[in-house]
Amino acid sequence: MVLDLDACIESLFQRQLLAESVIKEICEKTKELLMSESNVVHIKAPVTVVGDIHGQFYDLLEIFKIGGYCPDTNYLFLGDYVDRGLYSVETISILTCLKLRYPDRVQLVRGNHESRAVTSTYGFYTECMKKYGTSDVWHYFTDLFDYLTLSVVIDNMIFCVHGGLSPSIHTIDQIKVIDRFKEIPHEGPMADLVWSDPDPGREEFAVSPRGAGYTFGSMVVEKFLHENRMDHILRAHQLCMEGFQVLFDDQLSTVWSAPNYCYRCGNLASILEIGVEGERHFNVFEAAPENERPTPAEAQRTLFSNGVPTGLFSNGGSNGAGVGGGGLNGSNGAMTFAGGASGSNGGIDPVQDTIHYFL
Amino acid sequence: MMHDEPQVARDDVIKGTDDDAIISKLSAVNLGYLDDSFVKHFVKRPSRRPPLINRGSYIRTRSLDAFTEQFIKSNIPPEPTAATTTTTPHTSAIIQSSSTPTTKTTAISPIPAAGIKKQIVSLGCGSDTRYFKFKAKGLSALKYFEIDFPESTAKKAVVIKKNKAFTDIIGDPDLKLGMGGTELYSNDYCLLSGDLREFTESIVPKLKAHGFDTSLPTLFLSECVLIYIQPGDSDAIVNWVGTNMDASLFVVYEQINPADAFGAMMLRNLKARRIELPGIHAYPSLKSQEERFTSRGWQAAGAVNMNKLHESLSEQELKRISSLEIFDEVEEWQLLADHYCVAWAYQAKPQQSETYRAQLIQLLSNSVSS
Repeated sequence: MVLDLDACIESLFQRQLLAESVIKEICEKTKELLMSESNVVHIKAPVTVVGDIHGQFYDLLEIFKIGGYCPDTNYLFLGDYVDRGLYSVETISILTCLKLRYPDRVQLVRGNHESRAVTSTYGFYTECMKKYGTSDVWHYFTDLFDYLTLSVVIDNMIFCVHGGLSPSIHTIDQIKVIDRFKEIPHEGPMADLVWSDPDPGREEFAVSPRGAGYTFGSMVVEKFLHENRMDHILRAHQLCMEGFQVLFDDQLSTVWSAPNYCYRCGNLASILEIGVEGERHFNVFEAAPENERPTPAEAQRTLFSNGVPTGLFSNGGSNGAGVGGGGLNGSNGAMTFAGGASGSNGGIDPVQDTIHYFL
Repeated sequence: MMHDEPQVARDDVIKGTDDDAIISKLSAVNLGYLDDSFVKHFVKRPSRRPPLINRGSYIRTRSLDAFTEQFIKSNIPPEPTAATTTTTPHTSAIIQSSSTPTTKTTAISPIPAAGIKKQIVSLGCGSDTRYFKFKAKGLSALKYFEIDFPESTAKKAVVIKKNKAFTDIIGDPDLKLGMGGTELYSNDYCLLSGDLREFTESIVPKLKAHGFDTSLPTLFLSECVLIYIQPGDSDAIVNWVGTNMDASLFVVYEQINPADAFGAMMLRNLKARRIELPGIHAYPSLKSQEERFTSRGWQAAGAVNMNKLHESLSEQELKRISSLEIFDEVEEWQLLADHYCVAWAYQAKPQQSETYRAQLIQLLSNSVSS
């Protein structure tokens, strides 16, 4: 099958899903591409850095409107593409296509949500099942996630990662030797890089309230920057009401790119535009206007009826109706929990179908 | 806000909040946060909620359970045997004591384990299972009253009557339905139908007709209930309780902080589901929740938000619930938890015996210490 990436990208911009067979091929090809990427990818400015998106596809479209389209603008995405929002599938589909189409203009870093265990709880698995009828697409993407790089360095000066620092990692070289091609472990350096958070009230590492990774303080930041001869750490992972946060005397920034997160938080979002001289500018934006976005109810319309996917873009080949499937793969021993998707808790029900409160 | 919708339609939405709440509670139960074998009987289609909702359902239930348990267990401490004190007939009638009530100057006999008789009133109970859960553990008050709209109580009565799990707990062979199946009466549990907006006119007489005694220390529970009615109507309930009850403890769980970004979005999102929170602007903060009572002469009041309740979990308990499922929503959780509070207040009217009043206040105060 000849893959027409431009056509795929165009149809995704039109909010059309890709056929399952197309996704399978795109994921295969992107894995090949990513395989040769180091755990630390070096790029040059100018580049626009994007934080957590969490399936908020309409806000991703807004980001392209504000920041410019590929390949005119170079993009670095810091992970957490899926879960929580209603359009994780569309979001990761378009980002994967863009990476494959413009490999040197688009960088995709792995976030803690690019994980089988996390996506089983926070919506991506459920969304795949709902939109494709089987778990195959979830498998293709979560296998792809194993290949995403862990960090990026811009102009040898800015260290970019999804979460933060690790007590086991003092130098960039230590990151390079990690075997990243697997499910995110429950602990260790790879887990720390995607789960940790800065704590401006502290100097050293401490136990994280998230149950994975650590919190790290000012001394840790200074030491890491000094040791690696860099001047800034850029990360995402934490909700910022103003869209971004700058800490430790401008040695660390958080960029958060999901406005009105989960349709509930009422927050602003931002993208960080890094200019050719390394100058940093946070471009702050609000959630996309209501009338450009279908309501959660509309978004829940099933795209799968009578065993045949509807409204899908097919590039020839199979009709995308997967074979077998259903059920979760074991999570490779990482992040297992006592509960799990209990049968007595009813069938598949998207965690994002209603904006939940306590009533 | 324009009331375009007829009241009936808006009431349906309010009743619907129970469906949402009970599904959330069952989600928390099924994952191991809470222990409750009764909830499942009220849910036709279970649904797993996101982790932060499960955590909040857990904290909400646990907090109100703690108040209820402490209230049931609190007793008037026995007088030191050396002292001589007057017991009034009033006092001795209340205290279950094997000794004969007397008006002579004598020492009060030690309070037996059965303790002082109390009542619990659950306003807008919905499908709440607290009475059953507690009685199954051997904890009960003299009488537990539940009140809600007839459509809601009718559904509840059906579930109770047809499930041995429930009738065994009630344990009263004379268990009766009434009011066209919208009410249920037994020895220590009474399910009554009514409109809380007509509390004084129609609910109070009903309570009294079924053995409600204003002289008994009583716990009033409002778990996301008063917020749905106009402040004038909820004030009327608080006023009535404060004026007519000898000793009462009022516990409220509901939303606060409508004005910040999260709160404003919450009101917008709820409005899209046709849910309004008329009470939130009247009592939008922890302080105003306390003043809700203290301004009406209640002895003491307090209010904390859900973050505070979460912080006061023991390390062991926090570890236990953290192991039940992944929880990657710390910031969002804190935002959400900032917008819910538990508020409490108690009052005891002047009694013939000042000592007794002090004892009642002590009992109530013990109920809220945590």
